[in-house]
Amino acid sequence: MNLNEIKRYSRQLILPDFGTKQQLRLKQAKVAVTGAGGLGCPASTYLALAGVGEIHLFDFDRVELSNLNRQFLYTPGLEGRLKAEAAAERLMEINPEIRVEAVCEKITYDNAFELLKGYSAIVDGTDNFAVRYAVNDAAAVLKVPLFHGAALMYEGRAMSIIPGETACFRCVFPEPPPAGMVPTCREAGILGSVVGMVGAIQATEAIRYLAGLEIGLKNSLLIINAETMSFDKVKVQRRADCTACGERFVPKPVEEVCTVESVQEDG
Amino acid sequence: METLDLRGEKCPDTFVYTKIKAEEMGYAGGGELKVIVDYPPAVESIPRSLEEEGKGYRVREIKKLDERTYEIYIEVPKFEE
Amino acid sequence: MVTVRLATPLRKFSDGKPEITASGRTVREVLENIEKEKPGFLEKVIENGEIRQFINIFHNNEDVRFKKGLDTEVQEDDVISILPAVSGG
Repeated sequence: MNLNEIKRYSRQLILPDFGTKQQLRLKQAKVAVTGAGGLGCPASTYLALAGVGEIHLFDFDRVELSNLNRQFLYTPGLEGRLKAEAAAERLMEINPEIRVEAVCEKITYDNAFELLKGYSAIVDGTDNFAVRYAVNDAAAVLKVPLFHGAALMYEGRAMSIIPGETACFRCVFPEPPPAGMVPTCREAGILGSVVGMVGAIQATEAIRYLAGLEIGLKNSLLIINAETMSFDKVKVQRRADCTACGERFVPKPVEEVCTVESVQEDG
Repeated sequence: METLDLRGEKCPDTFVYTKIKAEEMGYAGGGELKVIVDYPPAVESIPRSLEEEGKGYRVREIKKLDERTYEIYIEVPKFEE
Repeated sequence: MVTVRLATPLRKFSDGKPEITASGRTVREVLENIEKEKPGFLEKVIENGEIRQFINIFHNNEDVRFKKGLDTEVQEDDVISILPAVSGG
């Protein structure tokens, strides 16, 4: 570590369970962040600040004015720019010691297994079930740890998925809700600080895991309610018959339905 | 009657503009609001979302002008407080 | 009475509130009692007598699928959480 790095990371290097070895592990890590939106902005920012050596940001969307109440890597004037590119540039300004690459490609069930190969971890900040299940199944098959997060209105969820060890997203939710239960326009409402909490939790779990430290959300789903500020950690279990991480993998693509962000396309 | 022309807007923005306009009218004593949309899913989602607001809005009529364009007539009550 | 926490997509059955109280000796009875107040609730959660695939019910923070399912007994002051998957981000 050079002097600049020691100074930059000094406040985390002081931590009793953190030191040279842990910082080096972060530096050597290559993390995929899927989605550069409400979850992806805080999650990738904290990964970058902590010194994760290589971050690949996946997003095919462009910046809109309505993103700016929560997606703090973007500023007025950037509307119309590819999010992944704008965010990658901003993150390298925030921490020039690391490398951030933009992948402006839409993740699908067909390409996820190829696109997400070779990562030390994936932090999921996507906004619809089709991509979420594609990312989950690919992570399970490729045996890449996956740090799940989701938010809806004042509710947040987070869970850490370690292949071969913990329940995956599909163990907990084998199928997405049917189209009839999709959110209404009102449920597209989200507060930046709420989705920010979730992204920060995902990043904290990923950072500790990559540094080789114990993490708290294995086989646990954290449910945050920001109206009552209750944090519930419920126990989840692997399913032997899980089609993603169970005894036999069965590809199960999920169709895209109208959700928080894609509401714009589908109503 | 007040008119809100939302042609060119999509969900959830169609609802956001309707909600804010209706609230302004409700605090100002209520009245009737005509919303024009040319994004068909909004014809279903605006009334549903307004009902979920629980503020006493009533969708009086939905007129189809052409293949994509609709007028939604909403009665906005006077808000208390 | 037990406390029932409803995830955001189910809030129309609690008048927008994050939690409600209901009575019952088992998870099934609690759900049936909510149905009496809020018709339509049960079919969102249960299909052919089983908990729907995209719903999880937790009793005191443990998945009832790994307990006695809908027949899991509940005590006064227990907490039941009903969670569909959410995808926003």
